[in-house]
Amino acid sequence: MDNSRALQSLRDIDGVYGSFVVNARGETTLRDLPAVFDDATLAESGLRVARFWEAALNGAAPEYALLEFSEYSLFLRPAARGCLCVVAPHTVNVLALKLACKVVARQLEAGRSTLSDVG
Amino acid sequence: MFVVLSGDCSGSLHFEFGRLVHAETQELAGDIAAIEILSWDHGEFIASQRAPEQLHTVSMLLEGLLERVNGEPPLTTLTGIRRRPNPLMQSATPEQAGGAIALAAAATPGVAAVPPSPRAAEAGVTTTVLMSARGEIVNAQGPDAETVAGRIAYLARLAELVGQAMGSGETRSFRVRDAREELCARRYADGSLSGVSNTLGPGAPGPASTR
Repeated sequence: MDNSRALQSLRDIDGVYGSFVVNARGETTLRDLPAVFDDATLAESGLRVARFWEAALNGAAPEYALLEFSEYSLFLRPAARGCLCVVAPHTVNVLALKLACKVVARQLEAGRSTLSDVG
Repeated sequence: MFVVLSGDCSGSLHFEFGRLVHAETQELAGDIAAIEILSWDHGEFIASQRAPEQLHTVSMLLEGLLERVNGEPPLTTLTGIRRRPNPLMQSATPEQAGGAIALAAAATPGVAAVPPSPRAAEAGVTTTVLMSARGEIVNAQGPDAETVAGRIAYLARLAELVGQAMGSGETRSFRVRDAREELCARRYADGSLSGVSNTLGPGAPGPASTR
């Protein structure tokens, strides 16, 4: 399975809007999001996510983070030496999402060499 | 412990290290009393300084208790648990809600506002903080409260910036978990922040089993 398809598989979880991956520099390396999230939005978001992720480090890499905003939630998880970010509604089944992200992270790790195929 | 008043009904919930260990109403005790209290749609929670009873009558975890409330599957949240809508808590600021905040933190593990999952609370060190919108610590319990407050305040700000960048609205809450700690925080309408850090005990599952 290629990396884009791996991200698409997260939509199997009911309600998931899409997902993207940012590297440690905040650059978006993969995306599967509706067009409303344009490149400029993702570029800014990636930087902010990377900063949050770095600040969340507390001697150990975070297993996950969940940010709940008024419009939707953002689930973060380490993947492919970066951060897998999933945009989902508040009602998402987080347990199912966690497991799906674990599987996708594993797939991304296996296909890391092709992570430059943005878009 | 917390005294719960709802109309003509009253009860109490007793916690030890974040875990509900004893519940009683005027007529019931144990799991059934806890379910009864949690099913009340409205009421007032009062943090009591009275020494808790040395009783351990509640055997079920909070998740199980919440699932039993009205026999409904709970509202989905972080840990897969759902919280019954609680008008008292939905519009209240920490000041308005008073002791209810602490109860909500302990009794609704599904929301990032609340603190850590029961699994995390099993054998760890818990620090809770309440900060004003200006970052002043209003109330704190547990070790290293200032450090925890600083982390929560900083992460809350960074989360806010993530939300702004993504056009996703205001930050309600966040939760971060690593192999050693679970950190949860919630922002209220007046800008104040409440948060909990639970340092996972040796009995907690490590990353290998949770990833």
